[in-house]
Amino acid sequence: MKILLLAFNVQEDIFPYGLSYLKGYAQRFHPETDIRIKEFSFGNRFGYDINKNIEQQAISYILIQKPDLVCFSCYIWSIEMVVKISRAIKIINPEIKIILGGVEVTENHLQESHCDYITTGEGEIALKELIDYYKGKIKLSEVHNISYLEKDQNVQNKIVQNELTKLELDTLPFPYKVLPEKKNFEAVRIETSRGCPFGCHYCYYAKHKEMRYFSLDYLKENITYLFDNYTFKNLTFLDANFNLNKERMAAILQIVADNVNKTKKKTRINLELKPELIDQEVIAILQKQPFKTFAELGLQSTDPDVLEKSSRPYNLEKVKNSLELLNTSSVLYKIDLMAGLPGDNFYKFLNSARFLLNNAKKQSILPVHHYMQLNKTTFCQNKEIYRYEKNNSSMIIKTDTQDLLDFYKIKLFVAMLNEELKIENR
Amino acid sequence: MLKSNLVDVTELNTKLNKETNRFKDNLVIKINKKEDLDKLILPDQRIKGIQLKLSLLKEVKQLRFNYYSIIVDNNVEHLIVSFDNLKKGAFVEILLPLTTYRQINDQQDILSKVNRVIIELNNQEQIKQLNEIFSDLILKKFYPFTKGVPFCQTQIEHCWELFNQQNIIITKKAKECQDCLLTEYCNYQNNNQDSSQNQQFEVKPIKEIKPELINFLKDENTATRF
Repeated sequence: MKILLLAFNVQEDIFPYGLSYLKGYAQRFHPETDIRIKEFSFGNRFGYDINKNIEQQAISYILIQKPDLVCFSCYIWSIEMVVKISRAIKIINPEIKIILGGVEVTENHLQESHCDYITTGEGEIALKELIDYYKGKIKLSEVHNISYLEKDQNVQNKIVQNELTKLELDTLPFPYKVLPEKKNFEAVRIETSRGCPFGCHYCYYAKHKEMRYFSLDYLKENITYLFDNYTFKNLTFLDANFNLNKERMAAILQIVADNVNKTKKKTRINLELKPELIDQEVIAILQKQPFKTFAELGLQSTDPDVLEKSSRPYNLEKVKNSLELLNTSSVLYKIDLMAGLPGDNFYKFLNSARFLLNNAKKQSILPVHHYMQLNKTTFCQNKEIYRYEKNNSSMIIKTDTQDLLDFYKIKLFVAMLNEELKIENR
Repeated sequence: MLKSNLVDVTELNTKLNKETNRFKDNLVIKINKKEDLDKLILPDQRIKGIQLKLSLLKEVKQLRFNYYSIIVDNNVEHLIVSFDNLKKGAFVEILLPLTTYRQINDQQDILSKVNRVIIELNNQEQIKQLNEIFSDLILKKFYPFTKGVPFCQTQIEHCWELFNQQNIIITKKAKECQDCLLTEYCNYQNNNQDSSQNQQFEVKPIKEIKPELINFLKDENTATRF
């Protein structure tokens, strides 16, 4: 059996982290199966000519390879392209089976893309069990974490949703051991846990409140492997709230520090931190390391009503204290606002912006994002929110309190403000 | 917009912190005549920038500021040439009457050098043109700002005065404004004796406002950057 795992990236030279998990886990159980990873980089997703060329390349590659199964890893920037490619493949060679996976994929894509399956949970299990199915070991209904269309008696397509299940994280092979070829990247990423205990309605993580962790032994072995075998300048931890547990955070950073000291690699670590959970101890942990740290923090808004509607827990006083601590530390950071959440308005945004300008003193600009409604988030059920594209994650165009004109004016306001901030920092 | 504290050049010394030899933050010096430029201390003392009439801009060749607030009257003849004098990468704001904006609004070579456009209106008739003005500014990627329009006659988020409470003088209000919730913040000047078309707006008290607007306005006079 031959399987292709494909993804499309905006940037060049990205390690295929997610696809490596899929390949590594499946090959543990099916070592004879030919599983190949191929990533395409197209730079600017709005470059029409570039995109069309990439699409033709990808389709041609698939047709030449003649795989039994193609798995596409789908993101916001690639879903439109993947849907079209999938449909094209099924028209040209319907024998090739196609599965779409990733956080962006929903059941709406089943019809549109003509694909055979979509993943609905962890793709590692889905791929491994799909191979089991094609080998005749299990029935299709027993493959976890997928959905597919089935014709019922009336020849209508019915969506079948198979059962969901989750992995023991330590059973996953470390992605950087799966692909032996290239070992030199500008940036590498790893996760030390999955899930998020907070239930923010705009975030995909809210669907996975149960926290699961890779063990410290697993992390020690594999972070050491990464440092011993790869060259990189940036190491990003993908965890949603790296400082959820201070002791664990300290232990993981100690593993990194030991490796930095041993290999003498000049490294910058990028983390996502919950601002309310930053205290003197966290700062001390971050500051004592032999590497630079860059922290991404989310604030989104300072308005209680907006945050409540988003179900985002917050404590503004704690955020203020955290920023004060960060401002006098060696830790670099970025703290974002999100404009256009339900209940928001221009004056609430101004007050939030003022809070950041007055307190996030290390930031030389004001980072503001236009709220984008992501697939599979709680806000997708909110009938007062409309987004630009029906089936794909995209910018919102209307909420209970604002519409696109308001969002665009905020965008212009922020651009002007950031131009003015630039001269202040000269 | 970020806070700018406008002061006359004659008041400059009063704003100097003698201990640090630095000026208070965000100081923008008003240059009223050529001689004021001579009194101006060099920018290494960290003033934000200067505000001056367009006609004086040609005099600032030797002085390099990061911020220019340029008051444009009806004569735009030398506007594009004047901008060549400015420090590269400086932030440029222009304040101009609506009639003047109409003269230059299709001149991309001028507007491409500007970061902020503030349009001054001075009568009710001009209010009717606001939608057209705003759509024009948005198409040119400018956030729409107006100056001189009472809060009750427009969307307050577009009022220059919303962001410059420290630079406006709250005058005695017309009788019509007595019940207005924003009396303390609006700089509408009603001159009942002046029957000319200029300086006339139809005011009415604002009886309902969003609490977050008041929160923002109340903070305006504190030592914040914004």
